[in-house]
Amino acid sequence: MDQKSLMDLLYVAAFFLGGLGFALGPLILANILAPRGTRSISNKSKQFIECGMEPIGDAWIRFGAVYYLYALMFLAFDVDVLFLFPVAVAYNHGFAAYDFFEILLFVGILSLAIIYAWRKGVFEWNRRVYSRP
Amino acid sequence: MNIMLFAPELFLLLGALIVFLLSLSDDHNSARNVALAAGFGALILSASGVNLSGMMFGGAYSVDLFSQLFKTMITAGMTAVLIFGGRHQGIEKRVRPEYYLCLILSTLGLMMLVSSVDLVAIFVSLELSSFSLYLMLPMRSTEHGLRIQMEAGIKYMLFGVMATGIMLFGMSYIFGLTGSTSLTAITAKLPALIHEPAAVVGIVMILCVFMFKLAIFPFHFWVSDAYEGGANETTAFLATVPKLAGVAMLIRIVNLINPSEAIINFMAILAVCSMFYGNLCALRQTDFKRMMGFSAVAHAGFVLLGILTFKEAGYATSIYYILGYLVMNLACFMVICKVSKSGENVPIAGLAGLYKRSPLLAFTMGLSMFALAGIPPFAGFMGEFLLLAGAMQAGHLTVVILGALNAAIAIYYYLSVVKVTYCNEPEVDTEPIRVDIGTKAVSLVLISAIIFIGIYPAALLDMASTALRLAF
Amino acid sequence: MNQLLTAQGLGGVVFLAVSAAVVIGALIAVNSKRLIRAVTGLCLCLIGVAGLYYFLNSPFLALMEILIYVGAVGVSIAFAVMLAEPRQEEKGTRATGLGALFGFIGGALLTWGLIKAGLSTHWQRAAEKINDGSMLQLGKSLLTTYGMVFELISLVLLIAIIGSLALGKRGRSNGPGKISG
Repeated sequence: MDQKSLMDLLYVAAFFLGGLGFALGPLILANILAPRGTRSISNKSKQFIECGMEPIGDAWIRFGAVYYLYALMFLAFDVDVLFLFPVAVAYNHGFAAYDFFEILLFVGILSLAIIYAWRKGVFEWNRRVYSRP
Repeated sequence: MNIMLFAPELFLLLGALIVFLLSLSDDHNSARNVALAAGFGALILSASGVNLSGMMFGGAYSVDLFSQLFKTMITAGMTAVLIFGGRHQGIEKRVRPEYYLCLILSTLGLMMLVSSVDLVAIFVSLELSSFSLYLMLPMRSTEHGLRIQMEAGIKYMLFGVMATGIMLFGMSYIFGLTGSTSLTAITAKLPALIHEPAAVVGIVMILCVFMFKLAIFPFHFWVSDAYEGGANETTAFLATVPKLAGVAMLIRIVNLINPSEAIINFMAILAVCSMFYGNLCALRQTDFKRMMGFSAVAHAGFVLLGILTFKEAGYATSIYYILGYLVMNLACFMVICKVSKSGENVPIAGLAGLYKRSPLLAFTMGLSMFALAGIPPFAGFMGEFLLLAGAMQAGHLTVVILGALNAAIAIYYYLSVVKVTYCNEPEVDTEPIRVDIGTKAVSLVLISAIIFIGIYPAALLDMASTALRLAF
Repeated sequence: MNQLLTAQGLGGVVFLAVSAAVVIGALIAVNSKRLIRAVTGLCLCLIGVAGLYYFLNSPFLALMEILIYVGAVGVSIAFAVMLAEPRQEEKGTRATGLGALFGFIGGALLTWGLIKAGLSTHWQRAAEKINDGSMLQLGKSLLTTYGMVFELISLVLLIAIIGSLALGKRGRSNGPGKISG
């Protein structure tokens, strides 16, 4: 690996560590600063929330992910970004008209998926209500 | 670039676009008619363009007699499935237009697969056909339960994705060794590299995915569950059309390498294992589609016998055999689609008294079972005989003996279906089955094809040999 | 110690870190009892794989690995876990005894075979390859040599989206949850 890409990698690693610090820092801080003892005295050490109302039920509930269909669509469109990036870089290096036609066809076929989803009401927001056990 | 070379595929694409637009308004009857028209059109276009030849898309797509023959068979299979599927009662009503879309695109993918002469093109067209198939399995109607088709879909998908992953790994080896994805360039470079372990591993890994399509022994785990869980119409497609492309691609890939003792032995072991596993498991099945699944494993073993000779005659016999297999399987799945009233699975016992309920269907079933069992003079006998004779000439005596033994085992379970159909009295249903005119026509065509293929093998074998000579 | 603080040395540390991420992530993915932890382990493993791609001189592929696999695939699996029944995830039997032994032996043999095949093969030198594998070259070949494949990919993605929506919507209307305004 040449020097430049090695330096790039080190920058990425440094920022990665910084990001990791932001994620882990609060956890560590909370662990250091949290008052100890009080909850176990009141015999509530297993309770998730320490003030306010008494919590009802478990925290491990099933979340109503109404938007999971978007996630499915996002996945496919994410994959098409993989191909559009290099194609966009190479655009107009040969015959512009030909490139334009190819990309138009590619995006055109993919946009049919949007039409389909729209027509089938995927974008309508219906809230799901779950009955909790 | 001659547009006629690509006409069948373009026609199917046009059909797919129209079906897509119809799916927006949930118009499943028109969607079916459009799909049928697209299939017919593509069939006529590929049959009329059977002698075309040329390269397209920067050498990634080769149109020749070999690919055109397979395209004709593939489109014929799809059209037949669409006709005898009728209104596709086994498919959930709400997703029927999408089902037809998947069917068309799967066929399109298989057609492009047999023409692809570039590793990347092979991979993407294979994915197009497999993706559509993964989706077609769970689209079965939920009237008779939800679990079975989901299980089938998940199993087929997981095994399929795994096989594709193995193929990609193999392709990366081949690309790394030859520096090219084009099969023409690989053919030029590979013979010098055949002593490299990675080349052998790579080729075997690429073969894996097509063996998966054919359900050859260690890649057969999906077959019985997928056959059982898919709707009857879906299974009819799954059991016939992708196998054609599987054979075509096995021949294309095997043709890249010179035969080495290791690869021949490897394939011979797989062939024998497939035959024994398929036939012994099929003996005990009570569900018809499950039995056909195991029978598919056994027949795939036979097809491999032709390929492992590494000779043009052997390949030609494999093509001939798979054509016969297509016709025989279409015939018996047609009967199943018609016997099943609302898309439920048909147990073998459910065929009892079929000769009273519909003589034509009973005759079709009987004939296709005789043919599958390898009884002369039908298609299956000639195919098995020629394959065994070819393997004998190539000096694989043990394999031939074991193959013949298997042909004998297979007779038992095929003929017991015939016995149930003709000799047993019906238990529950006694009313006659109404057969529409399209299905009658298909069944007559299939019956005559089974007989014709069995009686005149020479013409078909010649054609296959010519195709192979022109292509490679 | 001085050597470690050069760019080369730090690069080596990063390499060890990404390799460790692959192995640890994979172990978490297969060993954790809760599915959501397995997903997190998988994401960690894939981040490591992206790092390995970078070391193999394919920064574009590394970027896409993170964008698609860690991003989109990870999110989709997380959604699938959220949609599944919450209680069932804790059940699940582990392969024990003979099964685990055979699995381990099989996996070890496969790895050994692949490594052996890879090492005993005379590979082409990188300089003899066709191009440098940059984004520009990739784009050019997608637009020229692989033009047909490029269009076919859009078709594959289209059928994947349509199929998943058609099947997913069925789950939505037939599922246990009730839809209310």
